[in-house]
Amino acid sequence: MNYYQDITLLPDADIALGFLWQKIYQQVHIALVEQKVDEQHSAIAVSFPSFGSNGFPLGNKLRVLAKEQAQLEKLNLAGFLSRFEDYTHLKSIQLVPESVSHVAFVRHRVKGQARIEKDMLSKAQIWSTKSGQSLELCLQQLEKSKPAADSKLPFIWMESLETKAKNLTGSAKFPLFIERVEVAGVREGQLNCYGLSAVRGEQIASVPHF
Amino acid sequence: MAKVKDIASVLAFEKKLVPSDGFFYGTTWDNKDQVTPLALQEKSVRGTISNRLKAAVKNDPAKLDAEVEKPNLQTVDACALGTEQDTLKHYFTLKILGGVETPSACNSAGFKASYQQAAKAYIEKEGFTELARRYAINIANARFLWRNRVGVEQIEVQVKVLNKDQTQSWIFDATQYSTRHFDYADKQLTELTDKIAQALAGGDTSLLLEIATFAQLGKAQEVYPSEELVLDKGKSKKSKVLYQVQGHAAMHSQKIGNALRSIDTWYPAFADQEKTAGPIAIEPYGAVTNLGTAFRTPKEKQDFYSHFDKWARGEALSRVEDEHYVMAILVRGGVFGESDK
Repeated sequence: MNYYQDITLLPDADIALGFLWQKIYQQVHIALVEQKVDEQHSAIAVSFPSFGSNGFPLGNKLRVLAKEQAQLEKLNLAGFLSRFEDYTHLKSIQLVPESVSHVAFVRHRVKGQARIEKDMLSKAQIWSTKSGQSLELCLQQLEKSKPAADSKLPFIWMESLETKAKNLTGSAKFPLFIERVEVAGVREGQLNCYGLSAVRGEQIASVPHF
Repeated sequence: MAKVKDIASVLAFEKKLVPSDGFFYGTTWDNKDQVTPLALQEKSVRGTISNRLKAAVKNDPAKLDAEVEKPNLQTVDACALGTEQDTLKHYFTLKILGGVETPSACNSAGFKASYQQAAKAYIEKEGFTELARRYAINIANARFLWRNRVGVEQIEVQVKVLNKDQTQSWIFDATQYSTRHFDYADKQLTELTDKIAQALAGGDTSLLLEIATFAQLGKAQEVYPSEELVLDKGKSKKSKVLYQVQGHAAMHSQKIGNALRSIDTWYPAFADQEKTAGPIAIEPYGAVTNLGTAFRTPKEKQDFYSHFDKWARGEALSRVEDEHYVMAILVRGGVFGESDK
């Protein structure tokens, strides 16, 4: 990642930063989808330079990074954010400074309460038929290792346009949890269309941090 | 002029910008005449049973299944355009009153006299044009749409004078007016400014405006009426309640008033890129609850009372901007009496 462009979110007196993040990140996501390199991968990354700040935990800056200047020019963030001129400030494309540290941003999947209950019940049912124990005993055993539904990670509410198109009455909103992972040096990996590292572990994709 | 030591323990000003509630309609950009009132929808978010179950239920798988399938509903209010509607119509009226030089209650004749002199001097000198221009821009840029304004395709603000025998009207393209500064002065704006300034400066006259705003959001998009503060949380099953007037989704008049008086760019941190909050609402301590910050602290002597106590007793303020600020607070209205102890 050699070039970057910063988007600053300008909170109005009564328009909360969290609400702006929803709107802006949705636009950036759409822009990344239009430039995707295959079914679900993007060549362009995002980073959150003020991740973990006081107040809103993602801070008020979103950085978009690419290997080539032309990629960012083609992405045309100015066009995608033109309707948000009063609420954002878009800087020009700049060269990433030399000697920077590296971090990775990964999407963290958190199961909701409903999903946890459902998984637990089906697990208990399978176990109960296999072992011959009563369902109630199995549930009791599983209760011990039951995961909690909460996560302390910062998230952005996103809306799935695909789900929304299929299902007009229901809500298609979901929280996109974002985790920052410290990495030792540059790591080459694939990015998803949220600009986050597509996988963790060995093939994690890092971004310069400055 | 010598400093007058009069103290007014009872001192109140009525508000001079009086908006109605804002009402929400759904319509289409191509046919703005056909509107339908928007109603709130109750949405149920489905959760599941997770509390401890009774023994009788726990030991019977069939009963447990039934119990787990039973949804644990959380109800919230929501409001959205219809599937065939792409435009939100927001409608309110605004009354603008004059007579700011007369407090609605004041128990000290000496204070009242010195205050009136200062107020009249201001009106004579400034004629309210600076404040009126800022109020007019806040109408033209549709700031009062609040969150409904973020990311909108097109916005049109139609302003009409409703006073008897007057037929003036204006149409503004709100996307041409930023909410971050007030450097505009075109012909339409000047006309509206003059109207507002005349009403504010003109004793017992009043101006009534009708303001209809069309915001093209996209089909079936969510819109944001005011959220109600639920005081008896225990009794209510709903976790979010939105404002409605007899089934018609609406925005609190206070919220509209707050947007219209968001003209304060004179507070110390405004020019500071890191700390600025853009134009903030006119408030005695520059309070912005959302950011948890008071931008005008008595410590820096930038709050209303520090300025007002000097100014109303005949002392000149160092900047004309401070005078604008003090007058804007008085236009906002409130109770400003000081302890006589």
